Amino acid sequence: MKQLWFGIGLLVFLLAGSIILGNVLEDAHMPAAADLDRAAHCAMKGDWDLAAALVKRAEKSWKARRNITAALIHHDPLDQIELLFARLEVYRTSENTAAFRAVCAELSGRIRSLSQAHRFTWWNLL
Amino acid sequence: MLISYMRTLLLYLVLLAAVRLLGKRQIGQMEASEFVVAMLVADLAAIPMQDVSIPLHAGLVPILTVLGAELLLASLCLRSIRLRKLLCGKPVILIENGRILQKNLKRTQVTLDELTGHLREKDILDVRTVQYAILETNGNLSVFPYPSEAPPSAKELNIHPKERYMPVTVISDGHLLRENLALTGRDEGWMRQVLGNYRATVAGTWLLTVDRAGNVLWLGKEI
Repeated sequence: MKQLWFGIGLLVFLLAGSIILGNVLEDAHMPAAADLDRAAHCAMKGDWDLAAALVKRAEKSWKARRNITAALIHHDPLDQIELLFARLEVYRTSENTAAFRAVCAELSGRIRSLSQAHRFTWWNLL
Repeated sequence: MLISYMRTLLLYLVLLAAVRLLGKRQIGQMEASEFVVAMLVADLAAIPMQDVSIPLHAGLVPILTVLGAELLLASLCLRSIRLRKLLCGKPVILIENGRILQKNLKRTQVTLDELTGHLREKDILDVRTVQYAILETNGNLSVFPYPSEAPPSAKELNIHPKERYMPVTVISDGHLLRENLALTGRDEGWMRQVLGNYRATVAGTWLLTVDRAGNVLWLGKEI
């Protein structure tokens, strides 16, 4: 009987933990992705100060959750995201609108796909 | 991680079905689910071991999921004969009253060469001397020769051999096992007396056993 309940308990614990951590991961980085989209929009309108503030906020949010993300996700995509933030800063200071917007789009796309990598969908399952 | 969890469960069930379809002779000593667990766990543990950029849960979650599923299935099998038959199958008689049941042999995908090979391992050359040969659920072949072909027992020969008792280990590799000593109903005084007969100490004793009849076995350390 003990073995049965231990087996059930273990499976339920893993299931609950997986669902919770998956949701945490998704919720943690979506605001940063949204900020990057807004920053690209601001750069297009020429409002570089607001764009800089939004990028700074997105990067701060990313760094605050970087370690927990690294514990849950493969490290290669994380390193690439950090390189993109560095490039973004270069394009922001030079006010290169096209490059800035392109990197913002790429960065927010990567952060979104990373956050949703563990969402329970049929294409993720397969 | 939910993906990892669901994929592991799916793969586990698929592998289990595959091993069942393969048949008993592929499995050897293990039941089908045990074989699947053994195959999976070794590979799963290797994943985060080989690549440090892969998070640890990529190996841990699947291993724990397999463990949980195996515990659950094992417990359910204890309680349900139908599930047990579904997962482990039934023993199959291959030889009955000296006759090979060819239909059963074909059904279990055991070849004649394999059958005769297993019989030779049990020191049987003539199939006609076998009353029953049963292919067990773990792939082993149990062989029962006719009583007239089997070696006689002491009872049949009207011989009364000496009683045998289970020896209890009191000292193992220089360590005194107090619990075992208490089980024998003896104390340390007795133990010191026995060691004295061999001019030995506890630390210098590799093995000391005693049985219910008081028979002692002492082996000293050589290295």
